[in-house]
Amino acid sequence: MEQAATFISTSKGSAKRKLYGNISVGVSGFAALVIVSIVVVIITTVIIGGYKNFTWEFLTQDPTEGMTAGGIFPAILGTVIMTMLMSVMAVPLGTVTAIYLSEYAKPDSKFARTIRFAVNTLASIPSIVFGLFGLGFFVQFVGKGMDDVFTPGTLVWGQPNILWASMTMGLLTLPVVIVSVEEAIRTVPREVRDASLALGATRLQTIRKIVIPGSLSGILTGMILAISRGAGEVAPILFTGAAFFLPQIPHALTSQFMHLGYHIYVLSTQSANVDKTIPLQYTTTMVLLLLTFTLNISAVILRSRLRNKLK
Amino acid sequence: MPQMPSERSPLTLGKKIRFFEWLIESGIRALSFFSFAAIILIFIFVFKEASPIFFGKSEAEKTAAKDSLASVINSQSKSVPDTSTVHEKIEKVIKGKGALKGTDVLVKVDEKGNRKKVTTNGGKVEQEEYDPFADDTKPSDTVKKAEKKPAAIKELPKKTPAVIGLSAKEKKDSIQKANARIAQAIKDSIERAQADALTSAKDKAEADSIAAKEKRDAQESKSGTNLGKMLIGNTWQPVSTVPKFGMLPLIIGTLKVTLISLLFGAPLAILAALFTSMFAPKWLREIVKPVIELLAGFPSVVIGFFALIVMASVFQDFFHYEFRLNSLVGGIAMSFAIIPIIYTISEDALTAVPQALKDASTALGASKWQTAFKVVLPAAIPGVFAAIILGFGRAFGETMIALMATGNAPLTSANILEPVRTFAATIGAEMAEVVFGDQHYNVLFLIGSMLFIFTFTLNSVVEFYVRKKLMRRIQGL
Repeated sequence: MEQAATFISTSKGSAKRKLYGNISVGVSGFAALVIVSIVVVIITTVIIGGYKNFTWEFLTQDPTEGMTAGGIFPAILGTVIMTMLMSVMAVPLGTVTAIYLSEYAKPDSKFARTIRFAVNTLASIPSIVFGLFGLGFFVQFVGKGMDDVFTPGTLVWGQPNILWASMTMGLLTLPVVIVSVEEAIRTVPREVRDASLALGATRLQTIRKIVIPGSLSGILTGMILAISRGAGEVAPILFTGAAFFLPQIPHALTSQFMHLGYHIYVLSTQSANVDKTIPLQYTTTMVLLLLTFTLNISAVILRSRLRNKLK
Repeated sequence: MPQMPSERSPLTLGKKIRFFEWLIESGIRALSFFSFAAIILIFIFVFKEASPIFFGKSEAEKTAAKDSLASVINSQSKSVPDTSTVHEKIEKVIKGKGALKGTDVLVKVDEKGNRKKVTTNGGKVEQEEYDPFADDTKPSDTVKKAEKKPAAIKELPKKTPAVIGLSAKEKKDSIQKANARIAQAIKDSIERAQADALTSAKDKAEADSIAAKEKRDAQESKSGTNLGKMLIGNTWQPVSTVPKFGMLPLIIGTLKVTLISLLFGAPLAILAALFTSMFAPKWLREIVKPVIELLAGFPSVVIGFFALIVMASVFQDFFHYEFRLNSLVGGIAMSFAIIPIIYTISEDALTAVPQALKDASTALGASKWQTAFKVVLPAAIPGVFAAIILGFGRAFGETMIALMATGNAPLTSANILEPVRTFAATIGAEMAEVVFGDQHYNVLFLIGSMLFIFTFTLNSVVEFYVRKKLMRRIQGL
């Protein structure tokens, strides 16, 4: 064996081959290193710039002095409320779609293929188009329509608000939920399902008693990932409900809200005193990163636990 | 068990119709159709708002849109006929108020009622274009003022200068300036109109007919041939008294940013995918892979912030160029968003290459890098291609990074060190300030539907062509 190997390598010029091998490993390793260092650099700059202001007061106080001082509590609260409303819409709908795709539809049927294609497409549409859709459909069509029917002459629903923003965001995060719930449902072993059916349970009973409890962690993962996406996306809410500064926290579905990502965007590009608020921007970015990372990491842990269970 | 097995045959057990379950199952089926319906709804409603550009506004829509300028003009020209006296002036010269500094704008109205705007520089013709929208579209500010002072309205498009290409920050300033100028123009034209009305009563009827003709022509040309002219022009100037919606600068800007991000991001991501799938030891893979996937979890506003505050300054210090924010900074920031996409999909494709192929290659005496570059990568090429296409689609529609890091100036230039404005950023920056039902609003929705159609096409190509090819390569070969 060893002799044969040396024979082959010498016959082809071992030095050259080794050099090429080293170069290729070196170049591809360097590429990986560059990407990793991009991640590290972004995280460290944000933390270095932001940790000084990262205090309890910053998290729990309102912005003061024309947004140049104070905290970001309304933005955090607005983000939380928006993502909660969004999950109320996206998680059940995504779960139902995933159940249909994995339990009812034949994998190669036209209907199932259409839905799968639609889900993939939905995931690839630019987020700004969702924003336009939210404005054109929810605000202008549904909202204005509701106003015409219930309160003619006044503008209640026909303007950007937290409900329309959450629904737009729910649509955006729907594919995330569908994919992760479907993956979780597939981890429920075939045999358990067959056993349930063999005992006389109907398909629906099997789903309710076997499939859903077995994939609960997957549904939770989907929800967490959706929330993380919803907390970070800004483009869909630019004109469906986010506001720069509000004197009060959102108290009704028709009120606008502040959002962490939107806050960063506005502070860094639109405000009068960009330079003055740079420490605030760093800290807000740090809070947003912290939020999405916590969510993402907990989703990863949940998912790996799910995979271990499968083994 | 109280029942004997013989009493109920096992065959009927599953076939018993339970109304309630049937209802729920139909509900599940119907709800699962939602994502498909959502796609169609998105298309319909984004396109619906853009459609007035193509088909013109229906009468119902016109009356419904209170902000719509066209209706204001119509009603006022009927009730106050002497407003149109100003139109007997065939030619006007606006000195020093062209889009470029030091140029003059000549507004010519020929016999057919076509309005022509000529930008000159010391007698030399710089720019010549038709203004089909001179009558129909003006910013909302003009409308409000025009309602109070109807006498001035016909004069406005010719008198007031264009607002030069705006960046997001300058916008408010320039709008205010524009308002001031509009107000001045209104005052001037009122005085002139009054004087004119006194002197020439005879010409009134003639002028009326010219105005009517002009309006008709403008309305006709709006939906017809000038549509192409208006969208292909090389000036994007939506917030001015004579709005221009030439998309060339936006197309160039989008392509510049997207290509830079692909040229920077795709090789990095593909090489990194090769590294983790072929060369890296297991412990290193366990570190590198999650870190790169972590990048996918970065909100795009964070990447945009990083590019805007940190990267732009570092790049400027390093390369010493003029504009702090430009397509290079924007493109590289954009690549941070597409690297995880390209990496994940190509890594999947590379690891899906059957072990038998790798073993065969090694058995034939190929080294590890030869196997990687000459066997595994070619076998996975359709997957890598799919990754690049999807990354392209993402970069094409990415909003926040483009909005924050590219400078947002609609310039037509090939220089990558100049600020650019992409399609998505245009929507993001301008939609908030636009008047509902306005032409500008419709054009923004048109851009949105273009983005939709483009990404939809890319996704379909990947779905139906590339995936199939990949499967065939990997399975059959």
